[in-house]
Amino acid sequence: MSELNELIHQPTRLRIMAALVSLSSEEKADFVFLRDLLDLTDGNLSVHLQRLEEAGYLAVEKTFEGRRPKTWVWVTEAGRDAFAAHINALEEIVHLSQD
Amino acid sequence: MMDRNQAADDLQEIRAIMKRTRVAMGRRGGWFMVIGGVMWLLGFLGNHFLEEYLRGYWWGLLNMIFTPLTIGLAIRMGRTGEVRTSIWKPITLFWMILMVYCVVMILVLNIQDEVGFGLFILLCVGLGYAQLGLFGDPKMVFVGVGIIILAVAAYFITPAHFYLAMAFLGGGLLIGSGLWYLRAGR
Repeated sequence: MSELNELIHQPTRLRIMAALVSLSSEEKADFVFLRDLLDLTDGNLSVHLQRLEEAGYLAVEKTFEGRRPKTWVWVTEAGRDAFAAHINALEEIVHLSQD
Repeated sequence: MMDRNQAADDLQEIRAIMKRTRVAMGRRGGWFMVIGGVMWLLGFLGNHFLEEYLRGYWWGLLNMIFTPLTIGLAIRMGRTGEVRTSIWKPITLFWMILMVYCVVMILVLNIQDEVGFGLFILLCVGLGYAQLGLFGDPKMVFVGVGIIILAVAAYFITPAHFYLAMAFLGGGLLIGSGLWYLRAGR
């Protein structure tokens, strides 16, 4: 039986991961896009991104667009695997409870 | 231990966020539909009102303006937009292949009738949107099928006003769909 991932299980991080795994492996999301999409504050999103980055689930790249700083975020292979395992665990709970 | 309802709620939330993300990303595609719709509107209005010998120049002028605009926008969006992506490359290649196919078919079929020529190009464009929808956003299939139905209907029902119908109905459909995409992704 798969186990729930405690790091991803947190509601905000679950939403962040869900949004990022929607992108293909070659795509990167802008910080502002993610913040507005998930209706989060800058600080809140930063904290959760850092936790996920420390776990190796996300990668973050800071660049400049002209003079404006731009932060790109994308999910790593380890992050995709962890998220898939978490979804498996959730589905198992739903199905086991039905049986 | 998490109970079944919590797990089901989490799964539902994940699906909702994934869908919202795809819709928000698809919003950018709306700009291309608006640009295509404006070009279509102007182009077919030209076909209806201009002398026959001027029509080729008119479309050439529109292509010179709108093609670089579209490619430039695609590259800029891919690099600096909300999501950095290289999806514009296969999409651009797809449209180029379809246009080459369309030109080859026109040559092979030797279409002489100018309205029939227009219809064939529109059928190719409609097919392009429908195919993109099958591999991307399914709503795009309706845009493609809508273009095909409108073009065929205008061709058979009101051939004398074919270009005018395509300017306002076809161009309008593209502009309206594009604006809808832009709005839906907010």
